[in-house]
Amino acid sequence: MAEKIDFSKVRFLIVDPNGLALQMLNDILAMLGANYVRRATDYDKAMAVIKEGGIDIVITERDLTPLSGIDMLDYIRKDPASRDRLLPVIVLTARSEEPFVIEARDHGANEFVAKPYTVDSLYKRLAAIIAFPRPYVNAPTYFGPERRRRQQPFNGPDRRGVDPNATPR
Amino acid sequence: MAGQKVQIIQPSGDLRKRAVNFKTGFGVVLSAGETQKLQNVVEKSSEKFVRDIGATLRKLREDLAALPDGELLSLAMLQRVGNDAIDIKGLGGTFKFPLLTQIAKSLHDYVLQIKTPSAWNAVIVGHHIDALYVVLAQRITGFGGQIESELLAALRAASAKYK
Repeated sequence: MAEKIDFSKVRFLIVDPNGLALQMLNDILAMLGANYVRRATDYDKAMAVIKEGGIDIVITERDLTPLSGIDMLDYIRKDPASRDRLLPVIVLTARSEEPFVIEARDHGANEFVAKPYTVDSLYKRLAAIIAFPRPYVNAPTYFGPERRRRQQPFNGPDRRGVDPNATPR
Repeated sequence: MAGQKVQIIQPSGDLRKRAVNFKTGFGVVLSAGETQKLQNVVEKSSEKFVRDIGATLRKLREDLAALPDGELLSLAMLQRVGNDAIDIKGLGGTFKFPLLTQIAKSLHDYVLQIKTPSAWNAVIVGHHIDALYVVLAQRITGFGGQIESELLAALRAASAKYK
């Protein structure tokens, strides 16, 4: 029997300054069966909800005012006052160029969806977060989900300490 | 980095325990029927998208037309154009208007690179807005044909030339 996802058990915060984009995302989640969806149109309102707690997944646009979705990620992942440093965050943004993808990844986003998006692409990211959550990495320069998605065999004592240009043993 | 350890933290699994089951909800991998159901939600918002973006473009056209001859676009106006362009870029393709997304991206890229406003800015911005308006008014879904592709190339060429 195949696994299913019951979205009525998932509590969402969705953040987008564009009313139409926010409404459409809300409608998609409602169609999926989500009945707990908090909405915010700017950084401050979103942060108020995050600080209250009780959210399972955040879906946010990168470009917010007065601060950005990346600042929100920084608070969640790094601030000592953060209630849940492992809170899954999807960055859903029209800033789809490569530097923005890298920025979101390096600040600890779980998933990145470029606008314009298809419902299928969004759903795949949601399903990945809920059904196949990745471990988190706490390193001196990074806190967030494991950035390697594929496990590659390594024959050596310490992969991180090895010169990437060296010939494998 | 010696002595600084990397810690791997397993996710709690609480969300998975709560939401994943074998009885109710959507499949972990969507079936064609489930995808269609979700696609219908987007299509229901399509008319609102056309209305909202149409109103945005009309207002931009009015404000550009009201600009006195020879007056440069203000930085505030350029910022507003950039914000509207990124919104249209992000929404167009979702509503089956990928040509809108491409023109809006060209407009956003153009506005973003302006360091010192010049008289050309209003002309190039105006052509982009007119093109967006026509695509929307004519309901040109998809990427259009040869004319649309030439139009896009012309807008990009003009943007590169008249900074």
